[in-house]
Amino acid sequence: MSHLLVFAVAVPMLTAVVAIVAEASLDGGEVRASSPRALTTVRAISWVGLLALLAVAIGMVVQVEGGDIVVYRLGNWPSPFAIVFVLDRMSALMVAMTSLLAVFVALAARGPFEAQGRYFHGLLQLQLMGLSGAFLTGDLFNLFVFFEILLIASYGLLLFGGGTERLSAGFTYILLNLVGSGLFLVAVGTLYGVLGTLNMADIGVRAAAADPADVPLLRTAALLLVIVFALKGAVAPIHLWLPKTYGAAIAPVAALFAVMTKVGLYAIVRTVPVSFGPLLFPEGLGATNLLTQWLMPGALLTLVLATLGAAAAPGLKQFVCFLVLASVGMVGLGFGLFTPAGFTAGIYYMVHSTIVLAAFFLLADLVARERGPLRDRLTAGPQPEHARELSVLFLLLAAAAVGLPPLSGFIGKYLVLVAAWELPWARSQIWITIIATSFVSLVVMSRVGSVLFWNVGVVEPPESDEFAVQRRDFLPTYGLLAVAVLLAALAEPVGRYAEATALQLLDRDTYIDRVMNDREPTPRALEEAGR
Amino acid sequence: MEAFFAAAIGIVAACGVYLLLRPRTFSVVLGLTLLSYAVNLFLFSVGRLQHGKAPILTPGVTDYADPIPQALVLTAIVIGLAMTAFVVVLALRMNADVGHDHADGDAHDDAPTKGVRPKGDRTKRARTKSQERRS
Repeated sequence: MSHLLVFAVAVPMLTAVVAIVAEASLDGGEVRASSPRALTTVRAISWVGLLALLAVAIGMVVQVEGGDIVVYRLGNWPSPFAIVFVLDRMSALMVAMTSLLAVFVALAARGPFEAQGRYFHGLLQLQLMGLSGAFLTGDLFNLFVFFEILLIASYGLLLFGGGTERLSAGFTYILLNLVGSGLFLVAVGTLYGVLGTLNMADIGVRAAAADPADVPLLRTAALLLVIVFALKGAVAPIHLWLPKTYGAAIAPVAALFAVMTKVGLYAIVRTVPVSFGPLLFPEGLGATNLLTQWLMPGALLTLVLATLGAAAAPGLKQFVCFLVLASVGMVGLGFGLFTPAGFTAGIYYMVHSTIVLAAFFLLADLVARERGPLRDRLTAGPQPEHARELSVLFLLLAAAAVGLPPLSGFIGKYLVLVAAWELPWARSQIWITIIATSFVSLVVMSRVGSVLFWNVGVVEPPESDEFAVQRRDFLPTYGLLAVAVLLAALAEPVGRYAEATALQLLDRDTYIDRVMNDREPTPRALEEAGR
Repeated sequence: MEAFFAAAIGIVAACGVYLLLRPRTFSVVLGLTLLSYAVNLFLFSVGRLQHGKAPILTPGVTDYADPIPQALVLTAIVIGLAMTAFVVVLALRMNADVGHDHADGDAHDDAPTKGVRPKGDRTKRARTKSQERRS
C-alpha cells in the first residue's frame, strides 16, 4: 500500500504543531506580535513543510498520471468500514495547485505581514492540512471534519492582523459557515439514516438500489448537501458574504482564499456523479435534471451579479473580490453542465482563476501600499513609485482575468463556450451571458486601469514605512503570473490532463469498484493463506 | 416516542432559526447553540430510537444499537462546542473593539433599545460602575 496520500495531511499537521510550539516557546506568553528571532525560525520550519507538501503533491500527480485510482484505507479495514482516502487525478491536481499557491502565499507574507500578529505560519499549515484532507477524503463525515479544520484555520487567518473591519467581516463569515455546518450534518445524518453508510462510493451503490419510497428523502439530502457546498463556493444567491470577507483579509490570506471557494465546487463534482448520480440524474448525465435546473441559473446569476459588482466596486481589492465571484460563476457553468467537456472546461478555468486571482490580490495590495493614504480606492491619485511594473502586471492579469488571448483566461472561457455549445438547452443562455459579462468586465477593467495608472497627478514621495514596497515584494506576483503564462503556453497538455480528469470524475463505476473491491490483503488473510 | 422526539427537534430548530435572525450577537449565538442542539439530536436519532440494546456487535446478538451515529454526534458536539466558544470570544471582542454588538457589522440601532436608553450611555455607566468596584 502506498502511504504517500496520508503524508499530504500528516506533513502540514506536523509542521503546524512544530511551528506553533516553536513560536510560543521562543516568544513566551504575553506578546501581541512575534519577535523577529522567532519569526525566522518559524519561517524556516514552515518552508520545510511547504516544500515537503509540494513534493508529496507532485509525487501524487505522478502516481495517478496513468489514470489509476489509489485507495488508502485508514486502519486497513475493508471497505466500506474503513474511512478511505482516495487519490485520483482530480484530488492530486487540487492538492498540487493548493500547495503551489501556498508557496507563493508564504513568499508574499514574508516581511511586514507575518509580523502583524502571531502564529501566521501555524495557521497557514493548518489551513493546508484541512484543504488536503478535504480533497483526498472519500467519506462524507470525514469531509465534514476536514471542512471544519480548514474553516477554523481560515477564521484565524481572516482575523490575522486584527482591526474592526476584519472583526465584523469575520463574524458574519463564521456565523454563515456554522449554519452551513449544521445543514451539512442534517444532510449527512439523513443519508446515513436511510442508507446506513457514509462512504461516498458505498452511498452511490446503495442509492442506486434504494427503495423508491426513500428516493425523495435521499434527493432532498443530496440537494441540501449541494446547497452547503454552494454556500462554501459562493454561488448566487448565497454569495453575499464573499466580497466583504475577502476584502477584509490581509493580501496573502486573500490570495490563499482564492482556492477556498473552489473547495465547495470541488466537493460538488466529487460527490454528485459518484454518490448521487442515480438520484439526481435518472436520465443520465448531460440532460436537464433537478440539479442543473438550479445550479445553472445560480451560476449564471453569480456571473452577472459579480460583473455588476465589479463595475460598482469602490476599491481595487473589492474589485478583485468580485472577480473571484465571477470565476465561481464561470467554473460553476462548466461543472453545472455535467458533461465531460463541461468538467474539462471547469477544471481548466478553476486552475487558471485560482492562480490569476491570487496574483491579482497581491497586486492590489502592492498598488494600495504605493498610493499612500488613497490606498486602493479607485480615484485619481499620485503616481505609484513602481508605476511601470505595476501597470504592466495589471495589464497582463486583467487580460488573463477578462479572457483576452493569448493568456489562460481566453482558453478557459473558450472551453466553457465549446462545452455549452454541445447542449441545446444550455447553449444560448450561456453564450449570451458569458459574452455580455466579458464585454462589461473588459470595459470595467479598462476603467480601473486608466484611473489607477493614467489619470495620475504629481509624483509624491511615498512615506517610507514598514509597508513600503520593495523589489522583492513583486516576486510572488511575478511567480504566479509565470504559472498563468505556463498554463496558457502548455494549454494542450494541461487541457488533455483536465479532460482525462473530467472523464475519470464522471466514471462512477470505476471509482466505486476501486473503493469497494480493491481489498488489500489483511494481516489475518495473509496468515490464513500462509497456513 | 418518535413523534415526540421529532417535534422536540423541530421546536428547538425553529427557536434556533428565530434567534439566529435577531440583530444582536448574544441572541445570534444562542440561536446557533440551539440549532446545533437540534442537529445533534437529529444525528443521534438517525440510528433509530431504541433502548436497552447492546451497543457493540457481539456473537449471538442480532439486535443492537447502531454505534456510528453516537460516534458522529460526539464529534459534532465537540466541534460545535469549540466553534461556539470561538464565536462567543469573537462577539465579546467585537463588542469591545467595534463598540457595538450587531451581528451584521453595522452600527445602526434597532428600535427597542433606541427607545429605552441610548446604548453608549449604558456601556459607559456599566464601565464606571465596574471601575468603582475595582477601586
